[in-house]
Amino acid sequence: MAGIKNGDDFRDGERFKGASLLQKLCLGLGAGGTILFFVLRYATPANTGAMSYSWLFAVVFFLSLAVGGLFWTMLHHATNSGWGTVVRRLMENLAILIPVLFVVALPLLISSVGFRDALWEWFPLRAATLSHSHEEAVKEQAEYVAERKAGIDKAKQEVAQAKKDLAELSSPSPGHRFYMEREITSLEKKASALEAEDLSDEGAISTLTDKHFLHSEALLYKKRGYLNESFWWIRQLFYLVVLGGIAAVLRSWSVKLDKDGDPRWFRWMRRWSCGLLLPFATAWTFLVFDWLMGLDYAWFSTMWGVYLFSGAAFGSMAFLIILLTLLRRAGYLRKVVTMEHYHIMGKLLLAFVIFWAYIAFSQYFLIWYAHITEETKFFITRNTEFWNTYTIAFIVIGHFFVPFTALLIQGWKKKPRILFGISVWCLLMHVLDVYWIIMPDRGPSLTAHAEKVQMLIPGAWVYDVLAFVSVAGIFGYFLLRMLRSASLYPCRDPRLDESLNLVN
Amino acid sequence: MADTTQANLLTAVHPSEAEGVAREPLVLNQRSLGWITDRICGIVENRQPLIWWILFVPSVAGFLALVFSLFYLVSTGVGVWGMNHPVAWGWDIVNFVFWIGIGHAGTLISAILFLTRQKWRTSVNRAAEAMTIFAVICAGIFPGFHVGRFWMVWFLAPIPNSNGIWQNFKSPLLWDVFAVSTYFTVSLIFWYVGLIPDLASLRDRAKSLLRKRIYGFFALGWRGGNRQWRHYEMAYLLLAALATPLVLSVHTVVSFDFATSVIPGWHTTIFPPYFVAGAIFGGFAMVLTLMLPIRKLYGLEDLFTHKHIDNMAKIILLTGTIVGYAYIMELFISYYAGNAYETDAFHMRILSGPYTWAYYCMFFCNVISPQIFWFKWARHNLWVVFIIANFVNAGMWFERFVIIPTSLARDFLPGQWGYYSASWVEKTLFVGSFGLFLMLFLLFLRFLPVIAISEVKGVLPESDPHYPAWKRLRLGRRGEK
Repeated sequence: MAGIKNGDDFRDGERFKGASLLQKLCLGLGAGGTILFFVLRYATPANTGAMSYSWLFAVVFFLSLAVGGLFWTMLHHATNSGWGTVVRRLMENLAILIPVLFVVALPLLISSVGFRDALWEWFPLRAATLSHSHEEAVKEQAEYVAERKAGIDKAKQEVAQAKKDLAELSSPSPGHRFYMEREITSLEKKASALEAEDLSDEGAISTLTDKHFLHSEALLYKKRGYLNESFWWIRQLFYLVVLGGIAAVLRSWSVKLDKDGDPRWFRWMRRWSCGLLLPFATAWTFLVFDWLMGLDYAWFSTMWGVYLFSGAAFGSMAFLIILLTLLRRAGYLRKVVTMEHYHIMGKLLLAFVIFWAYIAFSQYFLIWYAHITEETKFFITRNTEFWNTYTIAFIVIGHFFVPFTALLIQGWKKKPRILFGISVWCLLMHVLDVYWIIMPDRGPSLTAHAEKVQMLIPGAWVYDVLAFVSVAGIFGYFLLRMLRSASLYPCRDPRLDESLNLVN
Repeated sequence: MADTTQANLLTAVHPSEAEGVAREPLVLNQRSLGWITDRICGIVENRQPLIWWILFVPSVAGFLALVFSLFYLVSTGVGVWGMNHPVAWGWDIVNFVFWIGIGHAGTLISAILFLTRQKWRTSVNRAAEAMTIFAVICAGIFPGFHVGRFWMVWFLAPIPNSNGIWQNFKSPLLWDVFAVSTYFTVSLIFWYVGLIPDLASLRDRAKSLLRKRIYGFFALGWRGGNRQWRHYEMAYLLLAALATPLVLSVHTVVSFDFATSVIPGWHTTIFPPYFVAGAIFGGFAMVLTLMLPIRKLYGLEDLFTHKHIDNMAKIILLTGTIVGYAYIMELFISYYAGNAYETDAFHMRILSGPYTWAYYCMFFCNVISPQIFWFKWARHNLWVVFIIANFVNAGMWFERFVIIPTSLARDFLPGQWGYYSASWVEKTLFVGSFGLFLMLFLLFLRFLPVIAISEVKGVLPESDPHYPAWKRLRLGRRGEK
């Protein structure tokens, strides 16, 4: 060790310059790829379904990196951590891309592009069922109202008859009277209940529509409080505001701290990171419920939010190590980041390899063991044909056993070159994990009404690659811009000394 | 001009010393190494205060009640419990999971916090590990007697025998046997290894020969040499790494006991992490319940400081909120899944069933009450911390009660519905298990150092090789006085 570093020598920060060619290349790839993608979408409308999955895959992958970056930033503040100050700006720069990715996700959300209905079948199914039920309701309405009115009349007559019977009795015994009176009360209640029903045109139609909706799509009817368009839009807005808002606020305070060194910003970041963990977790959980679990509206798992969270934190840490190494290779951050930081990041990567595997295995295992049809569906698709090999090779061996074994070795975590290699592998596995979450649904969903259900759509991988490259370009362009816009590490952070002199 | 700038610099607060930024010391009042040894060993070497006896006698009575009710149970039969047809798992399994959960904080503090370099663990790890071992002992009693014929409990172990018994390796109940016994073994070894240097300190300070011999036997010839420390620390690190998966595995397997079934209310995929979070939650609450009085009683305020209590309160807040997340996920998915059995099970759990009171007790104790720890004043008021910790202790018992009997009491067919309430034998067993637990813990206080002396010394600022020599000198002089 070259002696104790003094934070005062680092108060000016370090600016990222250069890579402007790369940035232009990213912009070109992003813009060009996106244009090509959407030209293809409108030129070959038959492929809309297949292409919608490609776009979702690309968006979710990069969004998971950004959300992971936000998680690491918040964790750093919430645990009052000292080690990570010098790499925190990278996490913040990753997190701030969340709003950008929401813009990129817009084609998925706006129904006129045609992606939304292809991805989330409950949208068209719900619309079709509702309009069908409505038609039926309109047809039946007159007859129904007449029937109900006749029913009301009959009930009233019954009440009148009962009252008359009671009046006609010359000297009823107390028991008989009591019995008769109780009968009258219950008949009156029945009549008033019938009368309470809204038998206006809208009322009757709505009752009948509900009835038909329940009969034709019972499951969707039960979920109508959650799976309906207006609430869905409210939720999307909530995700954007919460995730994007937290990222923006935390980064802006951190950059302000760079300028004036006022510990107030530091205290705010800490305080709000704790308080906002709960909205953060809620937003990410329900986002992946809506976007990914919703690919098959009948399937469910309480673990789903945790599973996607573990993947996001894992992939994001791998990406941070890669980004850090590339920056150091280009000559930045060399004085501030040491092997000790690599070692900790390697350990966190290992922790999340294990945590991810723990969550993934538990989810698989419990569904496999209980063997309930509604739940096994998800894994049956992924254990069929091509996807079976894929699962074993990438999800089991590639995503867990390989990085787990490699990261156990202490020396490897301290060597940037080797840790970089492992992180590239981990990031690739995270890509394959997101692919595995989304794509097995594509074949069966799109060919559900065809003669033979296919597991894979031939040639669709081209769109996957195109979408991935396009979103990667956009992501890379904005990431480079954010890197440029402030110091590469929080240069006046009160914990800077501690982080600079980190010893594990 | 130059002089004033210089003066400003000297008086200015360094950013890392600013309010809300500075790291708090882990040992207060700059206590010296000798003071730490004297204070902790003093607990073992001096006479116990009266309150120790006031607690010890009822604990032994509770333990005897446990022995008596177990004797009555075995001699009469499991029928003396309140279990009935749909509810075949009652307080026995509730208590088992409750105690196992409490046993989790020990390994978390000793292993995971060790690996993550959380230095504040040193003041609590010894007591937490002891608590873990005693809690697992209490837990082990319940499934052991739940099997019915206690003298045949060895059937659970896959050992060669001539009876043609083959254990059902497909059952999570059997995995539990392995998980819990492994956990117990590793926790015990970990605890003992951590004790060795401190046992040597007690040996060296012993005044009677018998005492010297006994502590000397268990200290395994520890002399505190450089080589011994090197090997010791490596062994401790490896044990910590080996113990870490156990923090997850034990309660995961316990959650499998329920979640692998198809009983609505038991089968849900979030169970493993939810159980682990709950176990850590309950374990930390019990550590606080024990440590707060001990701290006061034996004058350990400088070693077990507000900083420690603050951290533990925050962990309780975090894990309590995670548990709350799991409750909400269960409720949401029971609605979202649209599965009639799931929906009904949760409807009965929260609205129409016979045990809704238990659900709301659980929810209040586990999710609502810890939210007060968002406020600093609450984390720093020992009474508030103590009361909330006990709410959590109760809440975690209710959680297991809500999961186990309430799901069983409403089977798929209304003809198989029932109601379960515990008999006096079950109640005595539960109270008695607390007696056993407290008895063991009080004996631990009496005979072993409650705080890891050597580890606390390691986190003192003067243990840092870069600690300025002039400060060391000053400390040395103070020690002479």
